[in-house]
Amino acid sequence: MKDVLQGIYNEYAKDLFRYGLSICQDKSIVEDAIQDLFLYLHNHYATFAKAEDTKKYLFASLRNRVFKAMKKKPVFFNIPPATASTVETAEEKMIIDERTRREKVMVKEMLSNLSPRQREVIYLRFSEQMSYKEIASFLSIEPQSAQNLFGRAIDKLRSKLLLMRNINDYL
Amino acid sequence: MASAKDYKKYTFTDFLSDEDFVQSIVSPTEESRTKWKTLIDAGEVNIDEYTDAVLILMGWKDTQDAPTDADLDALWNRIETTIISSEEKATSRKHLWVRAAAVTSAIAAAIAIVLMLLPREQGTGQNTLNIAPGYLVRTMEQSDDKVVITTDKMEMYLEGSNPDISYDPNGVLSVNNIVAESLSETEGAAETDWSEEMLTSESAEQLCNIIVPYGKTASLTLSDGSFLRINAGTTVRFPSSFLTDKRKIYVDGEIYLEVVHDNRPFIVQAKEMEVLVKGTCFDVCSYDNDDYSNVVLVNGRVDVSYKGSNITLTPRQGFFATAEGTSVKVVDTDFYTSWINGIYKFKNESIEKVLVKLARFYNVTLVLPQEESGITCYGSLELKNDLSTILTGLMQIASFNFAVKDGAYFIQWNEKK
Repeated sequence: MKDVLQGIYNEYAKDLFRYGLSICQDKSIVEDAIQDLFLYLHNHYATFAKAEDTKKYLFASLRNRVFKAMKKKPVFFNIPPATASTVETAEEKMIIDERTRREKVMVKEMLSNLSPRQREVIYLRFSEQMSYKEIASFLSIEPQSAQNLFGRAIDKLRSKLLLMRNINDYL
Repeated sequence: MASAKDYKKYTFTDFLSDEDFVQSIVSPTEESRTKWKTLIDAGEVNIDEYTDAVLILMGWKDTQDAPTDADLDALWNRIETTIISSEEKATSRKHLWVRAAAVTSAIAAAIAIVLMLLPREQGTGQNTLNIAPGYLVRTMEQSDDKVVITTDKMEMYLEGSNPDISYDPNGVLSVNNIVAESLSETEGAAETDWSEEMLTSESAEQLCNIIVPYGKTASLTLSDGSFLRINAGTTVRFPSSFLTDKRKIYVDGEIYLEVVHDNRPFIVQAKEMEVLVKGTCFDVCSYDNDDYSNVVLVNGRVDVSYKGSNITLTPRQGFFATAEGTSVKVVDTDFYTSWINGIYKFKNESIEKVLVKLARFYNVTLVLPQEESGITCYGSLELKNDLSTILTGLMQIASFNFAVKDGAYFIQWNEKK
């Protein structure tokens, strides 16, 4: 039984963790929620075994837990993860100069200022590469609403980026 | 994949909505690299929009560096331990872990407070964003624009710019003199029976937070009758009723406090500073993202302990802690407490400090030259006027100019003559 869970953990924990962090930037909440989720799986394995789509089931259960925990506990601090010196891919090198380097840091900060739902939809699009239809069925909303949610988040990022550039130009 | 798409007409949003594009940036392959490079070289791509879209995706990718393998291993160990202990204790004891979970989250909450009170390291503060060398932007940004009361069971958003919050001796909450007994707990139907567990195990003090955003203030009466005025951009944490032998509250920001005397000491914790009170009026100003803290005593007596040293203040004395050190001075308390009446008074104050306070009060983004102005000023401003009017007035006494662009206030010092 434990081995089964460990197998599930090994396969999905990283994605679950990232998905959780996209909603809630407080790592301890996400960790508690994942722990709670796995204990629930352990105690209610039969329910879980009936689920059609394992990943969808896990994501949805984690989502409920994270949102519930966030309601209970206000998040006081909102520190974006430390900038790791990631290896640049060819695409990056193409556009990298001092300004873009600075702007990339700004983008990270802007992302951390989006609402949980906006970050979530961005995660589902960018990292899980779900279509609007898949997102809609996952979040139980209309595909059009999913598209709007994503569009608004993107627009917000763009307008902030432009504002920051304007400030730079003004200076 | 044949590209029938016209990337020359693509906007930023089109790119980010395009699955091929997103995939080729998030998980590039040799093929996708060549494809985009060829398209760009051939001028087949709207390059400005493309570049911004890539920038957003790169920024996004950078946020995806957590969790590390070590994080994942540690978490699995935690899970394994709880599973084993739940297996050992038969089903009748299943609640036990649940209770442990509640305790775990209580510990997490306590850590959150500690983090909140620790001063941020220089330069990592969220509100300070270095935009260009020589300039400093203070974005006075907070996610909500309403005063919020939260406990671990509920959160409540208050309308109005200066709500009056009070707790009676039994810890019952009223807002603007209306008892909030109808307050529904946001706790939904739980899938396990842990909510009940948590309720019964709660004999300890129920902690509440009041979060006052920039641009708002609030009044708070605690269950012991002590009265607080809470300034803009401040979080206060306190128990709904004091059940232990001391009364302790936590502050990030600025409060004015009138403490009711009883035999239990009253303690205010702010950043690295602790203020011990016995029946007193005073003002504590200690914002996490400011590099100074101060306590000004109107009457009564307080003991301030700061980084291991203890100082007793007598009325009209102020304790000031900055990055350079600490000092105790006799002050005109009016200058520190006038904000409670909607007036901001200042004397020999640097214009930067005055402007930052104003930006906080009006909840605007302020862009200051990083170079110090060297201007100090003296005055009294009524905070009910609009900010542009106030700044125009300030320009009469201090030599600077300002411009408003996209909601941000840009300040420039005039050349010294």
